[in-house]
Amino acid sequence: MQTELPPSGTFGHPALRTLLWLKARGAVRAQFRKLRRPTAWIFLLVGLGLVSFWYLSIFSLGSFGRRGPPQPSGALFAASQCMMLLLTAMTVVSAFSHRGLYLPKEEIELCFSAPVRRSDLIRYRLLVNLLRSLLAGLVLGMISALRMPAPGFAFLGAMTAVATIPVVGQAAAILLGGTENQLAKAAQKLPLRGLGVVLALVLVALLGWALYGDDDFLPELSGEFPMSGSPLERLAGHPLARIVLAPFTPWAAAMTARDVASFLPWFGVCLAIWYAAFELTARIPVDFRELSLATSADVARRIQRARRGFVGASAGEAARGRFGRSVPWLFGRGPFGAVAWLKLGQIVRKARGTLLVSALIVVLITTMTTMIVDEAAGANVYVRSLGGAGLLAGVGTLYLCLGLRFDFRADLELMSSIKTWPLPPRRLFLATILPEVALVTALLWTAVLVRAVWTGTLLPDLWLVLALQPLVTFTWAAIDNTVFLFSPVRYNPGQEGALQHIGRSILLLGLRGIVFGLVLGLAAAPITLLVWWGNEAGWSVRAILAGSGAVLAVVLLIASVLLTLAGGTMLRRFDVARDRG
Amino acid sequence: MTHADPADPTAPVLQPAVTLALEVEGLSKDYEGLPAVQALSFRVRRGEILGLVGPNGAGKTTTLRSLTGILPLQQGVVRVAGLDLARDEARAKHELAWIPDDPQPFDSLTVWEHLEFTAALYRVADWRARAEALLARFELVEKRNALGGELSRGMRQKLAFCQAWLHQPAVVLMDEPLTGLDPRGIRSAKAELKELARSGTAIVLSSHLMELIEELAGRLLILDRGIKVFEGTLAEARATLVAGEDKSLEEIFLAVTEGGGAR
Repeated sequence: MQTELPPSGTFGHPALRTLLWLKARGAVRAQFRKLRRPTAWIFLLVGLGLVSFWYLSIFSLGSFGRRGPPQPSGALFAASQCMMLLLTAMTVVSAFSHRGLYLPKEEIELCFSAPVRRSDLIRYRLLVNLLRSLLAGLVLGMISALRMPAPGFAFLGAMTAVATIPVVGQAAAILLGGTENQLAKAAQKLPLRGLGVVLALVLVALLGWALYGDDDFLPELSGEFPMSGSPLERLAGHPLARIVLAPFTPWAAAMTARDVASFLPWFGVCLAIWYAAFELTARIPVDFRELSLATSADVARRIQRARRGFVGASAGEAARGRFGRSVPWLFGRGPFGAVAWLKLGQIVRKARGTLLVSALIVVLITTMTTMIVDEAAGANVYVRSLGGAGLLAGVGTLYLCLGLRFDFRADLELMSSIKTWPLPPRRLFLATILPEVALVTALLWTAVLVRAVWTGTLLPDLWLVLALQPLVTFTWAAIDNTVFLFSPVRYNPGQEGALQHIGRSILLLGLRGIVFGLVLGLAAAPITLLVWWGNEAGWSVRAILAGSGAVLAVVLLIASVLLTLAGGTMLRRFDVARDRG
Repeated sequence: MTHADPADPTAPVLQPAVTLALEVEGLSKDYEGLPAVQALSFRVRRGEILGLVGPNGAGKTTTLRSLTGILPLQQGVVRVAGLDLARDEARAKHELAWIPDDPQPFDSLTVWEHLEFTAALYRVADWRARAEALLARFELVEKRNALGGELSRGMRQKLAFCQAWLHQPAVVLMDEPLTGLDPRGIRSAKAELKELARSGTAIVLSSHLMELIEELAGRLLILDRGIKVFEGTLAEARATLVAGEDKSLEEIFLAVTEGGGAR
C-alpha cells in the first residue's frame, strides 16, 4: 500500500481535483434533473429571459455610455483603481467573518481526515473560489469591455483582477485565523467583526466625503488635491490616495491599455502576481483546522436559517435579552392563542434583528415616499398628508412583510410539527400571520404619525389611513402566505437551479400582485362611483374620503376572510413530502 | 382528557371508553405514482405497544406521518380514539402525540416555554406540576431556561418526550425515539414507555432496534415495500413465519424481509 503523499502541483492533490470536477458535473446534472417537470422548463425560460434582459441592459447602458464624449484616460485609470480597492476591501472585510479555510459542512470532516496536505486543501479551495469568481467576473469583464478604450484588453484585465482578489481574501482569512490562534483567548474577545465593519464604514465615508465633501479636509491632512479632472481623478491624484491605490496599478493599466505594447507587460505582471499570490497563500504555515470547523459550522447554521426563512429578521439568532424574558399572551390562552404566542415569541426573542431590519426599512421608505409626494403634491397639504401617509402605508407593508418574515416562510422546516397541531387549518393560518400583521401595523402607525409631525402635515383625516392600515397589511400578508403555501420556495444562494428560482419567484410575485390588484380593483369601482356621486350631491371632501375608506374597508374585510379560508386550504393540502427545491 | 369546552368546536370531547385507540383501514399513499404504503389495515388497543418494523423504504415513516396528519390522507380511514382523522381532524389530533426521529424545537422558546406552549395547544389545565415532574423524570430540570436552539440532540429528544407526555394522549406515535439518547436516557425512556402504556395510552413504535421492539412491543407489524407482511405477537411470528421457538425478532425480520434490499 502506498503511504507517501503524492507531490503537490500548482493545482493540488489529484483526488481533490477529481472532487472539484465531480462537483461541477454534479451541479450540471442536478440542473438537468430539475428540468424533468414542465413547470421547471417554464421557470427556467422566465429566469433566462430575466437574466438575458439584465445582460442586455448592461450592454445597452454600456453602448449609451460610449455614445457620449470619450472618457479621459486618467478618469478611467482612477475608476479602475478605485473599483479594485473597493472589491478588495469588501473581500478582506468578509474574511473577518470567515476566518480559516472555509469548506462546506459535507466536505470538511472528510477533507480534514483524509491523507491530504493542508496546502493542497488551500489549493483546492482557491480553485473553487477561482471558478466561482470567474463566472461572477464575466459581468464585470463585460462592463469594463464596454467602457474602456480597448474592449479585449479591458476584459482580460478585469478577469485577472477578479481571479486575484479572492486569493487575497483567502490569505487574509487564513492569516486572521493564525493571529487568532496566536492570541488565543485575548483575540476572541476582540470585536474583529465590528472592527471590520468600522473599517469599511470609514473607507466608504472617506471616499464619499472626498468626492462630495469639503475640499479642505484632505489637503490639510497631508497634501494638495489636484485642481483639474473629474472628482474621481482628483481623489485618486491626492498624495494619500496615490499611496493607497498604488498596489492596483497593474490591473488598472491592463484594463485601460490602448495597444498591445502597453497591455502585454501589465497583463504579464497581473498573471505573475496571481500566481505568486496563489502559491504564497497555499504555503501559509498556519493551522487553520479549528477555526475552519467553527467557520464551517457557522456558515452551515446560516444556510440552515436561510432555508427556514431565506432572509430577513426571522433568520436571526434568538436571544433571551432585555426584550425577551417573558412573552405576553396577547391572543388568549387556547390553541389559537398558543400559536400566536409562539410567533410573538419569535418576534420578541429576535428583537434586535427585528428592530434593525424594521428601522432600516421604515426610514428608507419614509424618506422615499416623502420625497416623491412632496415633489408631486407641491403646496397641497391635504395631498401631502394623506397621499404621503397612504403611500408609506402601502409600500411599507410590502417591504416590511418582505423583510420581517415571522410567518409560514420562517417555518418551512417545522411544517411536520405544525401539521400535527390540533387546530383547523384556517385558524392555524390566522394565528400564524396575526402577530406579524400586528407588528407591521404598529411600525407603520408610528412611521405615519412621526412623518406627519415631522413634515407638519398632521391632519385629523389621517385616522382614515391608520384605520385601513391593519386591513391592508392583513390582506397582503394573507396573499403572501397563501401563495407561499401553494408553492413554497426553499432556495439558498449558490444552490443549483438559480435560473428556475428566479423564474419561479418572478411568476409567484406576479401572482401575488395580480391577487392584490384584483382586491384593490374590486374596491376601485364602487369608490369611483361614490366619488362621482358625492361630487354630484355636493358632499364635502371629508365625507367623500370617509365613504371611500368605508367601501375599501368592507372590500378588504371580505378579502381577508376569503384569503384566510384559502390559506387554510393551502395549509391543508401542503405536503411535507413533496420536493421543495 | 377532561377539558372539553362546548363553546369551542375544536375542543376535545369526552370519548366513550373505547378499547381501540387507533384503527387504520385501507391506508394507501403514493409519491407521484410510486406506491409507498398499500392498503394497510391494523388496530391498536389502549395500553398496547405495537412495534412497527421493516427495512429501509418499507413505508414506516410514511405510515406514521399519515397517521399524524402530517401527510394528507390519500386513501383509507384512520380513527384515533374513535375520531375520524379526515372528518374530525382537530379533535383527532388532540388525542395524538408524535415524536419524530429528529425533533426540531423552536429556537426562540425555552424548554419550559415549550411545555407552556404544548399545554395551551392541547388545553391542558393545571399543567405546571405535571411539567415539573416530567422535567425531573427526563433530567431536563437544569435546562428549563435553555433555548430550543441550544439543546443537544439527546436533549431535544427528551424535550419531545415531555411534550408528548404532557397532554396524556390516547395514542403516541414514535419514529426511532431512542436515537441520540445516552444509556441512562435510553433506560429511563424505556421505563417511561412501559409506564405510559400501563396508564392506557396506545403506542406505535417504529425502530430498527430489534431488541427494543422485542423488549417493549406486545404485537408486531412488519412492513415490506409498503405492504403488511405480518401482524401479531412475537410468539405467533415464531409459529407462523419461522420454524423455531427460540428465534429472535432479528432472525424473524431477516427471514421475512430476505432479499428486500436487493429488490
